[in-house]
Amino acid sequence: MTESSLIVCGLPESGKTTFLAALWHLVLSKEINTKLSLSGLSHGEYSYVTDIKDKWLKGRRQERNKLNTPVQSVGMDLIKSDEGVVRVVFPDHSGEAYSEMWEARSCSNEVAEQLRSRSGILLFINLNLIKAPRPLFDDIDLNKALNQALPEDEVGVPWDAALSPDQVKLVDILQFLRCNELNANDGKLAIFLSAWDLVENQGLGPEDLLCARMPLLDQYLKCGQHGWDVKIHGLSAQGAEYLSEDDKEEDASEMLIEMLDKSGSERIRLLFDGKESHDLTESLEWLTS
Amino acid sequence: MASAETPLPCRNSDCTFAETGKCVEAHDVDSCPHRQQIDNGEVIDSADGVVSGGEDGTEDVSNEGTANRFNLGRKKTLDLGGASALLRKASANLIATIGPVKAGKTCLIAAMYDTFQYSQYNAYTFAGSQTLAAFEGICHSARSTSQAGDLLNPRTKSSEHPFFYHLSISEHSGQELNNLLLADRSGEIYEEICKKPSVAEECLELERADLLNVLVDGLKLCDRFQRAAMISTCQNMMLALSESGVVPPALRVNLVLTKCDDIEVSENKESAYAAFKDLAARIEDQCGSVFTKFSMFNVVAVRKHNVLVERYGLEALLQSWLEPVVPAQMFVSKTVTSNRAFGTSVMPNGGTS
Repeated sequence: MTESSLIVCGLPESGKTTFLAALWHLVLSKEINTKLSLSGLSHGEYSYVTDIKDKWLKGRRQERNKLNTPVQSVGMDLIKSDEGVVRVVFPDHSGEAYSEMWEARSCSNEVAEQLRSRSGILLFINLNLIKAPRPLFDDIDLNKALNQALPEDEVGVPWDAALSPDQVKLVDILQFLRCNELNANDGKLAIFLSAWDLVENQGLGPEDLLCARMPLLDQYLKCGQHGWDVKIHGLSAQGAEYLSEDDKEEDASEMLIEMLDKSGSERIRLLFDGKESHDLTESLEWLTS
Repeated sequence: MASAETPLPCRNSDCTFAETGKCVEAHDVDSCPHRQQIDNGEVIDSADGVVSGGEDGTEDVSNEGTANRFNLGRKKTLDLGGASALLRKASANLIATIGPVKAGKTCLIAAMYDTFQYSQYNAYTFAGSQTLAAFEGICHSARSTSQAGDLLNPRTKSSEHPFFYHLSISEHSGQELNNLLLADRSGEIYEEICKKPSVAEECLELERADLLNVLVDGLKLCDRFQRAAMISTCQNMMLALSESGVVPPALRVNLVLTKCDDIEVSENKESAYAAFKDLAARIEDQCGSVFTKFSMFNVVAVRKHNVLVERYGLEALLQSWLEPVVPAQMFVSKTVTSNRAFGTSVMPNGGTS
């Protein structure tokens, strides 16, 4: 049996935990044929992944992993058709752990060790929530055009790393993952543009949409000098706005009701290489090859 | 020379310090970025690439980290040690930018980086940077997130040493990477050079520069009370530099007119542009034999008026920064007559002549 440690990373609310929940359901339920299938339940501990899977099936939002809570690891023994069983381990770090790399320029030793020994990276980006840069001139120009008063404070707020655009944070995180200090190998990088259903009406495929919405990250990936082997995917694993823990079922939108009427596997939409499927393990097959 | 058992006190194997007590790169021993500490025949300081101290809030970090924390060893800006470490690993053009206080040196550096964020270069692609956080800090005042009521130039704190920003850039047409080290510091020291040329010897970034940008504040050229003094300061600065012996031979010089959108909306627009040309002619006349190639550029780093295209002039300037460095022996001294301009000049519309 070979073992692959795949790091699931991304800024807060980028869809990491939802992916794991959907993946677990996919391989456990066998509702559809998948490239990788579950070998068995011998990994030992499935409480966390069962909880997140159940929440996902019920249309409830996942709780955010907090920075200083113990890292939950999701492990699966998966059968690859001609290679036997591969054990795939996903440490599910909070998004703040990655924000911290940018803001504090450090991470926990545990995170560092996992990043060092990883086989591949799954990077999640929620294009619907990203912070993009915007020139102050545009605000001033707009205020003048609308005859609105400008802020009285000419100087404004001091710079804080948290204020930087998300594309800058992600580029720097990817640079960290390849830095001498970590001494990690070259690897495969699967990028998932999550909540794809909310952005697909822009009429662009995943690669073109990333280029349009995060040009700095797109340039960095295309320059090819970073050592990553990259694939970009669009991913929708919910298809509708989920309910919070306190919401009543009657608050569910029509779209959510429509989704809940589908099987879990059918809710999943994965777009890459010009085609669409429900099979999340296709990306894992590539990552572990 | 050192044997395998006797390490050199300097990581530069060509250095003659062990024999002569003098640094081969003319560094002061205490500030030499290559210096190693030797104790009982063993190197005890192998801080390759680790830099200390710094300006503008850079932290002193080591790779050991505190308990349970792994330090990613990243700095904001690079200091002399960090810049030297980068130069040892990869070729890079070192770009020095001088000019009076408030001429827009830091704004220009910020704008050159920020243009990549909007994918607004036609020919160039961002390939990475070791100083992303530092760039972000200097871009902040021109961003919406500052919530400022006006576009104010960030002031660079006075510093004893220069600090550096790093950009790795590739051309759309090829895979080759070009590294730029962009030196910055507060402008007071450059104004000091006018009064005391020997101050230039403290500016190591000038000594090592592959290209020198000399910034001329376009807003001051529009002001009849400031114009003559601005011209005099720039001319004085260049004369002092050319006579200091500090700058390397065959140094390329860009004369960069900043805040061109302010000029365009000024009633003294014609006078401002004429003053810039006059300044260029004066510098060429006095210093043309020392600096072998002059070019003129008009730019807008931080747009304040809607009169010129966004990022005006920046791509042409970036192209000049990325030109390969030509070894000094390939140049011969140029004798330039006073009624001829420079080898290349950039017209206000961004074209070259």
